[in-house]
Amino acid sequence: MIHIIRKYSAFVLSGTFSVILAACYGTPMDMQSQKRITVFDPENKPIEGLALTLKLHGETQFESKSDSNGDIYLNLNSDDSVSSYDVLIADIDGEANGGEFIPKELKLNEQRELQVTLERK
Amino acid sequence: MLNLLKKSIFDSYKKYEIRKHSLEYLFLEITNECNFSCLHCGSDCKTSSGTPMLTTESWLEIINHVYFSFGNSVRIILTGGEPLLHPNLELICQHLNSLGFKYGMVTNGWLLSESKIAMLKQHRLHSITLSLDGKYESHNKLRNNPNAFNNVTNALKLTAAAKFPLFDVVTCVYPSNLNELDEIAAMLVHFNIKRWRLFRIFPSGRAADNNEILLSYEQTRQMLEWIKHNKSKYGEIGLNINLSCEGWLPFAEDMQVRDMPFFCRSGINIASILANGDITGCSNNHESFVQGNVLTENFAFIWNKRFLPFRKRDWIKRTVCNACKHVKSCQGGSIHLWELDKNRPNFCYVVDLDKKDKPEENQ
Repeated sequence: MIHIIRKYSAFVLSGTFSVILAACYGTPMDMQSQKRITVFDPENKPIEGLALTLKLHGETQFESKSDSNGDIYLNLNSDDSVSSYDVLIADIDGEANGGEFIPKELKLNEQRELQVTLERK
Repeated sequence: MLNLLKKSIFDSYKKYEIRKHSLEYLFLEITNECNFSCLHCGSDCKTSSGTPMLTTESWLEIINHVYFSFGNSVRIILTGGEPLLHPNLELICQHLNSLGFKYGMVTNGWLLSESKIAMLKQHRLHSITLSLDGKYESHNKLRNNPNAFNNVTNALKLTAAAKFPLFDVVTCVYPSNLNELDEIAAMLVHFNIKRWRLFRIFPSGRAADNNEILLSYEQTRQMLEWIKHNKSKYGEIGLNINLSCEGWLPFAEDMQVRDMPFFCRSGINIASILANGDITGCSNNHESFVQGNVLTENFAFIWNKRFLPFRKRDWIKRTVCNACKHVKSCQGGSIHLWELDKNRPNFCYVVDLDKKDKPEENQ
């Protein structure tokens, strides 16, 4: 809820969805830039246990796994545009969790929620 | 009309944040030792502090406690003193990274070598802030070190090249660099730095007794005017300029010097654990705002149950600000400009407190 309020307050006030907080002599930090990627199989069922790697300029920034809803949450923020981020989603558990899937690479965009379908091997 | 609408939305947002009181940003003052002896140091840090400090083991335990009490979405800021002086900095960074925290560091840059940057990159430092306080002479004067400028410009180049996700430069504006702001901005553009925050030195620590480095009310207005006239110009060539979080301003003026309107989040979303274990809002808040100590009390409990002077500013009614026409919006402005037992702030951006004691007569 607070993310939504921040997001829209920031947009009305400054024309951007990005809220950067820099307290006193602290460093700048993002307050809200969470994205959700939901991964489905070809039958539109969520896939659990997929590994996600988030890269910026080729360097790994974050790694996570999809939960039972196929969701992976990313907190990202940098001086770079969101399209600078590359995401790799890979099946690391073989036949478990609905079979073996072909890895997929994608670029992030401004959308807060992304839905991705992986094809079976 | 549009500003009225914006202000109204922002006021509601602030109320919501104050009520929610969620911890978002935590300063860890991992040392109070510093390799500089800056004229303006709010902490009054020294080369060797001589005062008791938490051990590395304590900091690791504190980080674990924050992780289990609040999760890893709290942004952690390593500060000091000079955090790069901490003998076990790598261990602390490694631990923060292993728990998935986004963390940042504020440094004077003196020790920021290529190998230190490589270490910070390895442990995924997310955000870094360096201080540049003027051209050669004005920077060295404030930093009290004849080699400080050459060193920090080298650190700026190294840090910009390292491409940390967030990087900004802060400048303490004081009489000797007030007329150099264009040249400093040009330098930052040259180094391809994208964020710049301007501070007024506030009278605490060593700065409290040094009027030579404090901007007068008129000089502070001059700094604000410079930002107003130059924010867009430099924004167009990639340098985002903001007035620091200090100092409430009327909404329309505020939006000319900041991307987001003033909101002192100290004790609302921000807490600090100081080198001696004291718990407060921002690390530069006066000791009268200390809420407890991690050596004897549970940090999460204190965050959830105390911090009332930050969230409910009834104490403003006992101060000169109560008579000011802006008090309802301003609520006393920045906590770090206050001492709880005093009846006026150390500085006000809207009212020249040195001219009159009654703010309403000074508009």
